[in-house]
Amino acid sequence: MLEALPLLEVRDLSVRFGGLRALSGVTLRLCDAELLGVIGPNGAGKTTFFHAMSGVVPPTSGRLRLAGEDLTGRPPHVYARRGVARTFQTPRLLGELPVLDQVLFAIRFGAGRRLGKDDPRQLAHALLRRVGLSAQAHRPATELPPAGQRLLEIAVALGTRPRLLLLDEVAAGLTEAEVAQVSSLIAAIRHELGVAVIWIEHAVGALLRTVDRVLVLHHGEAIADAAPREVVRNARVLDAYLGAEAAT
Amino acid sequence: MTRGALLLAAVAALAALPWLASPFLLSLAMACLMYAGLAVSWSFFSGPSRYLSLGVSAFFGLGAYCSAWGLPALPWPAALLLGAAIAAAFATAVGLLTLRLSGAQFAVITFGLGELVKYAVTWVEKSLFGTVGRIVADPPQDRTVYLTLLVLAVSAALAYRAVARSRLGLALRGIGADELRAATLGVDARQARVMGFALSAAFAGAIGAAASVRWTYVDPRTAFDPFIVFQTVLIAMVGGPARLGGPVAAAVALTLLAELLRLRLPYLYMIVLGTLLVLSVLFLPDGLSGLWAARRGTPRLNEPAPEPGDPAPGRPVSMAPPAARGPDHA
Repeated sequence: MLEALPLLEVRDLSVRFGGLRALSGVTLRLCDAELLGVIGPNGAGKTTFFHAMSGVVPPTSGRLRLAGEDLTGRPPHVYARRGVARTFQTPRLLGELPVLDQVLFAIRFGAGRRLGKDDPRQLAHALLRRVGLSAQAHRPATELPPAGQRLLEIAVALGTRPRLLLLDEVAAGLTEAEVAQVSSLIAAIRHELGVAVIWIEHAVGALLRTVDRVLVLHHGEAIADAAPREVVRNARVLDAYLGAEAAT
Repeated sequence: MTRGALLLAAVAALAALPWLASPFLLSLAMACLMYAGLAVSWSFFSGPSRYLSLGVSAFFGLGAYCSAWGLPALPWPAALLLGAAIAAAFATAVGLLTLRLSGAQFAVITFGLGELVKYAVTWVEKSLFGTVGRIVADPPQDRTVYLTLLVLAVSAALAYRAVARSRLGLALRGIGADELRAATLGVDARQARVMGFALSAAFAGAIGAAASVRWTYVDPRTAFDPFIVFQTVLIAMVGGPARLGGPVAAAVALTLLAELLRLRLPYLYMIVLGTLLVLSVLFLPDGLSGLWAARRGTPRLNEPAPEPGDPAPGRPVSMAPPAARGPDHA
């Protein structure tokens, strides 16, 4: 029997910056609508992993396929157009463009044929409603509070109608209530839209409660890839990550 | 009368000027048109993308040499088109070479490459022809040059509006706001940068081909004069590149000021220019037109007007992509 084609197939992905191995030999498979968490201490290579999976940093070696298509070494706009959307650790928005226009921008450049016959403005409004920013649609994005900017970044990323969404510490700096809101939003995105999500978070609590699977990075290497309850019992993980935190 | 009709009437009045004005006034009007065209075409690329191009003198000079070498063998429109094509080709090469550079590096490189072209042309003239500089053989009449510059300035204004409303213009704005973010949302930043830069250069090349014939003698020092780029950038920044009216009004005001002051009080002119530049960079990031619009509450031309409220309830839109999510953007 033929095995179903995974949405994302990362094989032996490595990134070096000069003498520094930021990421070494990470291998990963992800299916449609799967929700994967990525954790690891500071400097574990989490953000480099996202950079390599969105064309921002070309991998030094290894391959990356999306729905069977090899995207290794392609520029960022190709990833976006093929359906890989991402957010950044520090929200990156398009200047003082109004909130709605930021989402429209993403729909116009990133969605392409995935937009189908839908009206871009209606889709943009629907996305803003989904993340709870409808009331701010016509305000400059720079006027949003930090939590609002993170939500807008998610709406903007969804504007490209992604098949895979990469979320980089979207809950960082948020209050407990806001973290809960973002977690349920992430779960809903996966269920309602059928989008596969890879979610990096430094604070692991909310993440472990939400995801199906966890990939643990340490010094650029994947030291575990398993269900949350297995990962928290994994000796290497406890030693490298949770142990390090318990010690501080 | 509507705004469009007013503009048409203004262009018609300008077109009648050669038959009404004195040669001195006509020459002033030509300088105004030349700088209006240069500043407007500079603005539609460097304004939204924030890539400060200092290559205007190079493009202008290449255009000037096209008509100096080509006339009278080439018909007048062909000399202009050649100027536009060569300037655009040079800009494409520069654009491809500078893809990895950031804004400040881009400014330095475009200026440096302009100087390089100037000395390359000097060297070619010296080694091939033995002399540097050439007389423009059989230049067209002032009336023809004036009307040509008017057509070029109006075309630059139309191109400005077209770019501002196009996908290219939106891409350039995204690049100016955050290039990496724009790229991760699907903008082919390389393509947009090179296309915008080449289109802007084509106008500078054509304007150089048209305006330089008035000098009757063209040499690298005058054709590639850095004053041209400084004046162009100043006009665009003082006027404000985000609105078409900004560079146009500033081109007229500063060109007239230049002509009035430059001969009698050259230092005063440079002091006024310098002060205006410092003031507009420090206090008016959108130039004088930005200040004007902020008082009247008008949006920028290249800013889509917000539509009040949510869209009328129509066909329900799912946030999910259409069922068949096959390969896209083939």
